[in-house]
Amino acid sequence: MKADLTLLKTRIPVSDELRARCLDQQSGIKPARSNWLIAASFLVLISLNVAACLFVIKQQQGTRVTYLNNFESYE
Amino acid sequence: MPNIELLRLGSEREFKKLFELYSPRILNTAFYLLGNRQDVEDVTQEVFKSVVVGVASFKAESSIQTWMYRITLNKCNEFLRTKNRKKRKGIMIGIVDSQPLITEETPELVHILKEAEWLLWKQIHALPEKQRLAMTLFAMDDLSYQEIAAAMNISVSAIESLLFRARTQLKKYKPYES
Repeated sequence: MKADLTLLKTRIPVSDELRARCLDQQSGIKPARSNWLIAASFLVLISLNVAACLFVIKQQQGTRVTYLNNFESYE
Repeated sequence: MPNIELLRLGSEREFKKLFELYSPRILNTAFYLLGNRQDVEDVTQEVFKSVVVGVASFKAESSIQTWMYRITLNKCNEFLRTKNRKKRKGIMIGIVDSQPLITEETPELVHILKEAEWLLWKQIHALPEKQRLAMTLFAMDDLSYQEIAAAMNISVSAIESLLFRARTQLKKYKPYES
């Protein structure tokens, strides 16, 4: 059967026009970013935000303590 | 063989390698399924576009060849469905999707295929859709049962059954032997 089916072997060539169409489109399309890369980017962003918030909170706490200490010393 | 990692990074050189290696197979498989050069070139372009866009999410669970055949079959099906839907527009939209896919016998196809090939092509195209797809991949591209199963997203035993039934049908006709 496979021998009979090997009849089906006509090959049409790839035209230059098709080659140009396919190869040109590649330069115009950026490959989709993988999901893990997007997730990792989000995680980094969130971590940076949290770190920044903690830093600001700590600084504010420090200022308040200094202010209270100073206030007590005035009294 | 093109490097998948470099392809993921958008390497033009690797894409060119991939194109040179697989475009003849993709083009000819689509040609046997669709039968019209212009349509086939459009579908081939769509396949390579999908490859560029989707290569980042390609998990390499199957070979890149199998993955590309799967895209090709999907694109051909999509194309035929749209074409058949347009033809039947206004008749009964509700039953459109249950209709078998029909490929036209184009003058170009008759011209390109030799007489014996033409008769065989006609017999293969008279088969039910899944048998037709399996037989085209088996006869045209010498894909193994495993590769055809992966491309069509069904089990190897289902492929064996499809090919067995297709062979039985083709043996019944046998006009190309005369």
